[in-house]
Amino acid sequence: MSAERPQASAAVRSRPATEDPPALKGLLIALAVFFLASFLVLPLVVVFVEAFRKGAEGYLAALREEDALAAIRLTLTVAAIAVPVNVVFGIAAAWCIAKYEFKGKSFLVSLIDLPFSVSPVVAGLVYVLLFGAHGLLGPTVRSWGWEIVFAVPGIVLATVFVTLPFVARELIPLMEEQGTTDEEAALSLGAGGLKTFLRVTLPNIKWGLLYGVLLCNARAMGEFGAVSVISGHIRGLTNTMPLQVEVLYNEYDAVGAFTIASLLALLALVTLALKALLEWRYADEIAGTHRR
Amino acid sequence: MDIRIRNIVKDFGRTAALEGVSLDIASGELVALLGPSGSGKTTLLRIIAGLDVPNGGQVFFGDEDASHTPVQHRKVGFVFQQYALFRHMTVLENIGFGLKVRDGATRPSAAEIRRRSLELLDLVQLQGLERRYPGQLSGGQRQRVALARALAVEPRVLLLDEPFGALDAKVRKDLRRWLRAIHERTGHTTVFVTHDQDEALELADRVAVLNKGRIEQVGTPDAIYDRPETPFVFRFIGESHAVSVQVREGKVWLAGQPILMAAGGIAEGPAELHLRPQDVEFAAHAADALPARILSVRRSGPTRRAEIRLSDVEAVFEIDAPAALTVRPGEERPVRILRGRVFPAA
Amino acid sequence: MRPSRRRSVIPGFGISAGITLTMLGLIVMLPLAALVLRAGAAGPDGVLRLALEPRIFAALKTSFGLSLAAAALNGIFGVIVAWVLVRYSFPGRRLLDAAVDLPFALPTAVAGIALAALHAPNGWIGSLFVPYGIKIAYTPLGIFIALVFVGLPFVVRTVQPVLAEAEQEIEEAAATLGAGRVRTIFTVLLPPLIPAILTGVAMSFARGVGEYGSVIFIAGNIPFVSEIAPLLIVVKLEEHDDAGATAIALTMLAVSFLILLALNALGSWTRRRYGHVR
Repeated sequence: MSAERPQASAAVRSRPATEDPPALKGLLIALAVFFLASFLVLPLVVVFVEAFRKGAEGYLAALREEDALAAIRLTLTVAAIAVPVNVVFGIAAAWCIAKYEFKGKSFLVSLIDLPFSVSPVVAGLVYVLLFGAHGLLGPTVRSWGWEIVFAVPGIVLATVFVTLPFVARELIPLMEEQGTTDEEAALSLGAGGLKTFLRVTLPNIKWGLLYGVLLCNARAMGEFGAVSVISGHIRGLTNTMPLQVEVLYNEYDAVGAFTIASLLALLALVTLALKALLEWRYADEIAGTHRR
Repeated sequence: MDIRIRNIVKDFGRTAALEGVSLDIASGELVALLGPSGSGKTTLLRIIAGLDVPNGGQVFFGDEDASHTPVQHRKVGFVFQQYALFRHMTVLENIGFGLKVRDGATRPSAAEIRRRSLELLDLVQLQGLERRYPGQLSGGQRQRVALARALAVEPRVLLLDEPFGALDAKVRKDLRRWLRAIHERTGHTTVFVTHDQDEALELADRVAVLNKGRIEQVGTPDAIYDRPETPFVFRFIGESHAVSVQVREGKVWLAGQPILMAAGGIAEGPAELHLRPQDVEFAAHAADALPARILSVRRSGPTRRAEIRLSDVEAVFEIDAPAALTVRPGEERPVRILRGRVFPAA
Repeated sequence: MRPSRRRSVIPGFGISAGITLTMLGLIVMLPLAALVLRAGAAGPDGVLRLALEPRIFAALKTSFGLSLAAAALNGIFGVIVAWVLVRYSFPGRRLLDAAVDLPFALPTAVAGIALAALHAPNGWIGSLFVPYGIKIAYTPLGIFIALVFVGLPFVVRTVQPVLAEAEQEIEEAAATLGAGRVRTIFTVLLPPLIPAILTGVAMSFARGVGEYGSVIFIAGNIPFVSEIAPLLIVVKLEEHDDAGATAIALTMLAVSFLILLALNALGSWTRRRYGHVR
């Protein structure tokens, strides 16, 4: 045996080749933390500080305002309509894109992503141009007695527009990854189409679906630009929470504005926490791009 | 450049990777580090290169103690298992990288870098591919580019980590012969890591067999194969079976019979006899032979491989029989042990 | 539209494709068609003339210019943040990682008033700059800050996975060939990231051009100085100048479309050139 007993030798101290010098490492971490803290954390902190500027009483009083309550109710209503609509669309789109081959598929995928690359203001504008007083369909719709622009249906439509891709773009890669073998197995065992979907496909995609719903809901409740253009800012009637924030801020009611803003910030924090939880806990069951 | 490795110790946290390894490599030699996964062979290679830092011990390049020389200045050529080519550079840029990153005075001119890179491209027989990107090459071609890139820096030693690990069997055999030819032409001191004994025995001048962070044996392929010094080397190289025996009065005893003369230096008492399939043959007569029963027979290349059980000691092993000899499962046939290696009982 | 290549035994193509196309048509395509139709009435010359009208042109310039500047800054810091998150482990790394998505999750109006309050002359950050005579809120600088905020996650999130997949062996190879650490970073590690960085920068830019909520509170909205294009759309609509609003919207759409095209070209160029190398 050619191995000798190791002699007690002074440990050789030097860094492996791929490790950065500690000074550089420290500098970069400090830079990243400083950048993120001043751009992300401070704005979040300021929301809550401003909301409680007049103490808990001021906060609660601002919450009990009639207009504030109306805005909260409207936001919940809009999300309650927009999110289910997006779930139906997202599942349908992902199903036909992931489970079949057909011509023009990649074009369809680009179309689904289109709302993400349209400015929210433009999204509101197109509905005003379509259903407004001078719009293409405006007079027709009005003759049926429907109010769309400056009314709740317009807000819902604009919200659906800007949130349309959320569920679909989560489900498409996930369902493509999973392939069609599970469904084919279920069908070969005699399950019908609907039963196959409910018993086989849905359980496979439930965490990815939840992930999409989470992001979709956050955007639906927080959408500002598109809704702002189409709502007409009628207090107590067509003001959602973000719009109410704007109205109060422009009236120099900082506490009122930041109080409602703090609710929306809480929503964002809960969304982020759940998102991180999903990415961590169910990494294998959400789309590949979110795995860490 | 000759290399001396002295008492290298390395642990990764709690697990020891190398426990005091020493090895001398002569200038121009082609040495294989052979061992199962986790034996520490790749760690040793990385320590020679300076990619890993040992907890203790020294590495000498010639008379120079290189232990504290950072990897950038060790002048080693390292070929990675997955080649680690720069995918945003062309083949030619990859090969010339090591020359291009030299400091002002020692850096050759652009034309000179190009000339030498093309020369190396020639050496590895990839003429005409200089403008390709690594993504446009086959596995075997990438391997050659990686070798040319490592040779470009005129390394004092060439280090290869599982050089053929990522290739399919056919390409592997071709490249093996080709690497040997390149080594003969360039004469670089070369160390390569492999877990494949055929590769090590066929390619290397000398083989170092590693196990659990220690070198078990260093020797020529013949020495390693014919005269294994430890039970591990015997088991790791080629097929083998072991059976418990007694050493008494200069003889090796199995089932109350003296079967072999014991070599000098083996202590009296219980021991283990290690056998390869060709160390045992069927005997014509029961005299001086061990009774055995044939369990199964199958064809294996030019011979027949029979699985037998020694009747007296409950030991099962495989032996080679000439194809002409008809043997059937269930048959009783005496066998004779021709040779074997005796190691002290574990 | 019908499934081709191989017949699928899985039912539901008709209904799923039907739902998808109907909703896409009604919710996305029809309204966008209304926009194009409305612009078509004015003709391409008309749209161009409107877009070159001084106030609109100034607003487009502000939006595109500041978005580009913000995207560039995000390009630099995004790479640093991605590097720190992938390469180093330090207490709070996971929290920092999760925080990067905040601009995606925080409603834009909330971000807008928070950034305005923070950078106003009496705000926590704004007051630090008053002694130097620098005003952040209600100036183009304020718009820039808001655009950095909304575009921040894009570069980090496009670079992070590419950096995480980069093998350590690549760096080790550079080191054995004699390259120092700094040179390794700039010639070996960063170049393969360039497509991802460009993609992130382009996404950040596109987002910035269309951004409304987080900008208008901090912008000051002074015509020719700190008025962004999306705000001018709203102003034009309130003035019942539908043609003007349409012209701005169409210009913005055209630019986002060109960016998308460029991104696709970039993607296929990278794939062709580098292939899928392990």
